[in-house]
Amino acid sequence: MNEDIRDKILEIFLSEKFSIDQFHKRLINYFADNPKLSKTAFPIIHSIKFRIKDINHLKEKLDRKDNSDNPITENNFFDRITDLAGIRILHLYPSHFEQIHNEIMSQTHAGEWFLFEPPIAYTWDPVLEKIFKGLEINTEIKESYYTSVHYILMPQKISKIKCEVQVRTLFEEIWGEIDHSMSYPKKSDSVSCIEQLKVLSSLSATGSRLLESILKSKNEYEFLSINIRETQSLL
Amino acid sequence: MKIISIFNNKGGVGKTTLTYHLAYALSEIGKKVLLIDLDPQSNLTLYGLSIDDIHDIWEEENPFIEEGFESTIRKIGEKEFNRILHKPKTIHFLLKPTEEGINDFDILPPLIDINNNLKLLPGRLTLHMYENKISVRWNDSYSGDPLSIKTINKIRDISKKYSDKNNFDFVIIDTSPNLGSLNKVIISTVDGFIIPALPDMFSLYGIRNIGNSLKSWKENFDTIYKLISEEKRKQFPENFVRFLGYTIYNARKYSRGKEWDLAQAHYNFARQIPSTIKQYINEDIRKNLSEEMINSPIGGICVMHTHNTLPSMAQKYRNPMWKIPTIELDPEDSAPVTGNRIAYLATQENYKKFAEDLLKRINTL
Repeated sequence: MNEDIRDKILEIFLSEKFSIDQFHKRLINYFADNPKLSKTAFPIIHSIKFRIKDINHLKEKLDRKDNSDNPITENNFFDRITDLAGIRILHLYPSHFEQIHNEIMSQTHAGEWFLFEPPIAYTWDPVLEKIFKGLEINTEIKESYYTSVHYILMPQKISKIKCEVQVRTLFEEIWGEIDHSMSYPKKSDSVSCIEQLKVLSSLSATGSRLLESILKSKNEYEFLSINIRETQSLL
Repeated sequence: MKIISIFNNKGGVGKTTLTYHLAYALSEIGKKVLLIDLDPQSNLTLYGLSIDDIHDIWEEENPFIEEGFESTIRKIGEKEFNRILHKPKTIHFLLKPTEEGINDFDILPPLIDINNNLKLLPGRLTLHMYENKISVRWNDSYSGDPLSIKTINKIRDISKKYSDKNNFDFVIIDTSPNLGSLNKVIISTVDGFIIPALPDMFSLYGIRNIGNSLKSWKENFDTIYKLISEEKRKQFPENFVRFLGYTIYNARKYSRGKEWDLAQAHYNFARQIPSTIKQYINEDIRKNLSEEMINSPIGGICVMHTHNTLPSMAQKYRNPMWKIPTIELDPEDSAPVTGNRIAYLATQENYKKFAEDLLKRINTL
């Protein structure tokens, strides 16, 4: 990327950084303090990770994303790089995703924040694809086994200030972290590593499904024992 | 209705005398004016109330201010609270529910009558408590927190409520000479502001400080506006404050001096005021004014020259300078006032001209 343009872009990023920061903090607090998602005995949100993009990573990303057909300029920078602020919401059970999604959408409908584009779900797993489609979320199949749902939120209908919120399960996070360490800064071309990553992704999917099954079994057991106790007390 | 604030970063420039006489002159032209004393020193209040009267108001408010509204109302009962609300209150009392984060009471307590057209909302030495809340809550306004937005806009809201009831044309706010967070929200959320200046180095530095602060305050407000919803934006004023001009005040008169009848040293400083304004006060908050309006003090030389002891008489008798010769005075004041009768009476015409020039400038908002 042309250095003059890059310097100008970095300058406008820094001039908006305070506002981006404030919006980022507001969203983090929203999820961390949410009575339905976080402030319960067994919270739906397991943990939250967040970061503001640092300048060096931004420079790399600009070089990676800029191309002569579709150059990044000062004018389109805030619409092209939408993850200057990022929040990752991690949850245990795949079935809990729906509640997190509904909470994000309800705030959107209330005008508390706005979506830059409709949410996108990335997955390779047909079971998850069905769930996401059921919630009317655009779903993209990723070759790379990446699984996550992305929302790009803004404080106003039209705004330079954006924050990317990613929602995924802890198992998906494990896969994502290992994949990241293999692929950055340079993709590993070790065949065995690639193969093992594939196995890890199946393992993650299986893990998530096992958790789901344990949760269901527990609920079913509790439901049945109540029924049995009630029946016994009637006899 | 327009809200005007009189502000200088330097104290002792006769700001309160100017504020009182300006408001009085406007009321004599037939404008309805409310004075709000937001300087904790409360000097403006003493133009409208005797020490004993303000003492009584403060004393009755003490438990509300010190222990808080909720516990005090519980102690004295709704009926007594209602009775208290029908007597004049200070601006701090009216801000207190917002300070505590509780609901407002519905009654607007009566104002102090200065004359038919001129009313006063008294001040209180405890205003720093509200200022603390502004500082603590400021950052939450970036996330649209309702209480912090209310805290920032409450002074403006109170001005509007009284204006709706009394049809005020102007609300004039007297401020303390610092650049803290109380003045940040006052000056940023009023419609126009005036800088009273002395022809000295301190005033030039004061203008620099004001200009620099206004720049960063405006950035803060613009940041809030980028982050909050349209609905919440409506609680803030549409425009950031704009500049109405400066006055040179209380300078020694030197009739054989330069233009403006000022001694050379004073004249040199006075002449630097317009260029200091242009250099330090951002163009976007003074572009309403013509070049001529920025260069010359409000009202020309009307209030420029020293009033000697006249203001102290005005405050002692709680009347404008021009009325002093016509009211009953203590025996020891009688002779000196009679001797200066013409000077006292002349202030009326001068302040009238001053007020009229200001009205022209207010029309640029």
